[in-house]
Amino acid sequence: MRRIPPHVWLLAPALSFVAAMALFPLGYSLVLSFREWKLAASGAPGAWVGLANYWLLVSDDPEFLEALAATAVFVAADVIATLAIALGAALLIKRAGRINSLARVLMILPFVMSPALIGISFRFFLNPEFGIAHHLIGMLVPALAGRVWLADPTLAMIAVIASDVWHWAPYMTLVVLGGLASIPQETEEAARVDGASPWAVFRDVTLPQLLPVLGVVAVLKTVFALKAFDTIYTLSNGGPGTATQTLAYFVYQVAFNHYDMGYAAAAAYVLTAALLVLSVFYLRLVFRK
Amino acid sequence: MSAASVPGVPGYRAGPAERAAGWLRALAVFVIIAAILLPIFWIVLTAFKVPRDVYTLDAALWFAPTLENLRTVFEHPWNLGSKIVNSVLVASGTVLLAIPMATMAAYAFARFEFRGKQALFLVVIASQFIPAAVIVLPYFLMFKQAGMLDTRSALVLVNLSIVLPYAVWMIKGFIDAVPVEMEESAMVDGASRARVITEIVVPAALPGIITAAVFGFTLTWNEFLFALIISKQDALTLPIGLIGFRTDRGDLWELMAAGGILITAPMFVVSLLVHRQFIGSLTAGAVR
Amino acid sequence: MTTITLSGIDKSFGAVRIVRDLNLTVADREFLVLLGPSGCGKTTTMRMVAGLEHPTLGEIAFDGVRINEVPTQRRDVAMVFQNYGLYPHMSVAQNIAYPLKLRGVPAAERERLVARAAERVELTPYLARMPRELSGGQRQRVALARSIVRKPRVFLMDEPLSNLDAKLRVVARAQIKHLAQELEVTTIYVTHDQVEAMTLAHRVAVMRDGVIHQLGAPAEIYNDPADAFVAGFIGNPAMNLVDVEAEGAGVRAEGGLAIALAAPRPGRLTLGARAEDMRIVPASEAHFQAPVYTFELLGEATMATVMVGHTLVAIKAPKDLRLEPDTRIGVRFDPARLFWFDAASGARVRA
Ligand SMILES: Nc1ncnc2c1ncn2[C@@H]1O[C@H](COP(=O)(O)OP(=O)(O)O)[C@@H](O)[C@H]1O
Ligand SMILES: [Mg+2]
Repeated sequence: MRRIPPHVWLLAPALSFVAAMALFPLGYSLVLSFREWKLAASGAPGAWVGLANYWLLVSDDPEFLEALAATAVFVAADVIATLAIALGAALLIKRAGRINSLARVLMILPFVMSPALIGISFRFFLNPEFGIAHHLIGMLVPALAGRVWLADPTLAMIAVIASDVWHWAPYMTLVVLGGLASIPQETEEAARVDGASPWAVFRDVTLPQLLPVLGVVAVLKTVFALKAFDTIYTLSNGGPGTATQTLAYFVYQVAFNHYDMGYAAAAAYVLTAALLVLSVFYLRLVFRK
Repeated sequence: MSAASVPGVPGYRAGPAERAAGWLRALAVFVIIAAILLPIFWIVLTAFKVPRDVYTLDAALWFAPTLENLRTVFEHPWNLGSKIVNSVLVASGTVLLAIPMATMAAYAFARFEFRGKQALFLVVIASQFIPAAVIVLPYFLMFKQAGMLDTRSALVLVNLSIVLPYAVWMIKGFIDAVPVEMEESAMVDGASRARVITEIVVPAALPGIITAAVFGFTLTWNEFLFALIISKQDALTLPIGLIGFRTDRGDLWELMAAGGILITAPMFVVSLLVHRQFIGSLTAGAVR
Repeated sequence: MTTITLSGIDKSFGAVRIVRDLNLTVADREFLVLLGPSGCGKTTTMRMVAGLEHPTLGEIAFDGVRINEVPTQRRDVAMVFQNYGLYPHMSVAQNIAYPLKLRGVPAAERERLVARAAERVELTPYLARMPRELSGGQRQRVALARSIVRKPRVFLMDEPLSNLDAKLRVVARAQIKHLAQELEVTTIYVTHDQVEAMTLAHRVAVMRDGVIHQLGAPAEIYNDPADAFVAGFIGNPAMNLVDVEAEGAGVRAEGGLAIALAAPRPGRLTLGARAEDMRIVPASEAHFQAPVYTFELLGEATMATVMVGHTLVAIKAPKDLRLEPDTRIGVRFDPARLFWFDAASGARVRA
């Protein structure tokens, strides 16, 4: 009798769950995307339609194209803002000090908060009558005083982005801090001795050594932004109209409001393709050695 | 040839520009801290206000606090009590299933060499990137057929898909840091592989395993999309409970805030308890 | 042309006082070595000269001008760090060129200077490599080249040889000595290795616990130590130091052994003598007698160790001598090369 090597029984439970809960749905959704299935009409999948679902998405569904555009805006702004804030905050609080370590500890709080709650709270803060943020922003920027944030497509998008940045930027700050801590201090000191101004030290020595970490942050944040759903659902509901309806939100709408499963699967697969490409980038960055 | 001593001369006198820069930095850090704390603070205040004080900014900071909201949310029709029970059961069920499986797998990935190891590991890591909608779509249909919609077990199953990969990765990082010599000397002393894992590796990597458990609990506790789709009435969790306060009569902010405290406070407490390992492993995990 | 003056320098980290009222002048073009055991504050002192650390009290001056507030990048110093501090993302050539680039030296001129600096430390074949592709010795030379590519006012080196293996260290030491003679730049060199100090320095400052115990030329420090710490720190093997008490015409070691040497004054003293300044002699001529504890062959000489009281005392002997353990031998001091210290304070007691 041959003995089963230990790594097989050690891996079996976890890997079978990953296969069942992630890989199987991945395949199933792909198959589904080639079929027609209106759940309201039938309990079983309908006819094979080939690429018709995909064709419909790109040729005859303005809502999908709008969702793509909204996704692009949301992801780009979200990633850039998160990167900028995380880098700035990390540089600011990297020195030792009581107030800085307090800031570091507090960075965990937004990260462990429910994104749904964050969305709800931002909605509350932006209420035109008694929202505290609406009121304070109105005082600082008089031009925005009378505007109803969630009724304005641009402002609603900004609000949705802000809520996601509030959730993620502190965590990404901690990641960047980890990256800064792994840069040998002697390299920055050597640059100062060599005659580099603080800005030159940052540009020539710190930033180049930090780039891999910033790359990881950028890719990770892109992934999380593409998957963002909770804050959009609770803050803007994709509105006004479809102004903040990103691809992830669109898929949800098609699948669980219109119960058009095949069509939803096709839309979901557009998102999946983007994410899988990103995951390759991510794995390259993280496991490049 | 010692120079004459100049006792008491200050070693450094910061110039005005430098002092101003110092103040600016302090101000910026203060702004960051305020940006994190003020929204949380505002929610906490709101939870203790009577509705009349919520719907005006005149009572922003000065108001007669009430515990009424924290009581109301446990009453019909909100019943946050049962939602807390569901959230606790789903989150602990997921973690209790995920952590032992993840520890075993992490150990195999950390300690054994076998064909396809790298590829398998990458598949596990990459599976986090699959959109939630793709995962929930087939399972929604299957649970519907099996009559499992609106059950806690269904939620536990789908939540495993996010918690398991993270946990494998995090725990592997901690096992990598456990010296192999510890295990080898135990094996020389005659311990079996199973005993080595349970008596040497698990205790040594326990801080990491606990961190992964806390992290997994947090993810599940806050999970929204799966719960939104799979639970209808019996298996509703806290995050879904929160959106129940959006009623025909408008949004009941003071009750949302009270519910917000209930969903957030436990996460704050545990994450601050393990914040050192938490920060360490999160940052290490992302950049390693 | 730079004289460095440290006056009344104090440095504390929190409540811990690392450097205490340090006064030191390094003359123009002098090679000064800061020597002391690990943790005594040498690096901290050097970092204050570089501006990487601010003194708590006191004044640092270049050519008489206070520079405490001048930021590092404007002090025009060059420094070789203990772990070299090479820029990992730049090639060897880029590393060496970086100080020139910051000073706006045109590319052609830069290239010429880099080539010359690399030539001087024999790095020419490695200019295109990245630091991670170099051995420890090569990295050390990149750091050296980066600091000599321009002519700084002050040259600082923090244990530049401590990460090299013993053989390479000797070669690199000679190279640094040669470079220093050529460059004629005021230099502070930090080390815990007394051989490096003795071979490289014009003057040595011996430091302990943030205090300079003695400042002088290597020969002065070796031949005329200011106190028991310096005496024990300099020389290989370390100077024998035996705690004794004056008794009658001679002294008695702590364990009870009598030594026929007249103490310069009554009370508790520490007797110091180097191994090479003692001889094995017949009992009649001996200052004291003791059984052999160990006997070692060193090659060019032999070393006999005896127990005097509670202390092991090493005596250098001719290379063809052979002794068995426990043989009783007589030992004679060279009275001209004998040192007395106060047992409590370690201060030198002159006869
Ligand atoms: N930034 C710092 N914070 C606190 N203590 C420090 C710091 N730098 C050095 N020290 C302490 O100062 C003492 C002297 O350090 P250092 O100057 O590096 O010694 P040396 O170079 O002589 O070995 C050591 O005890 C060290 O722990
Ligand atoms: Mg040092």
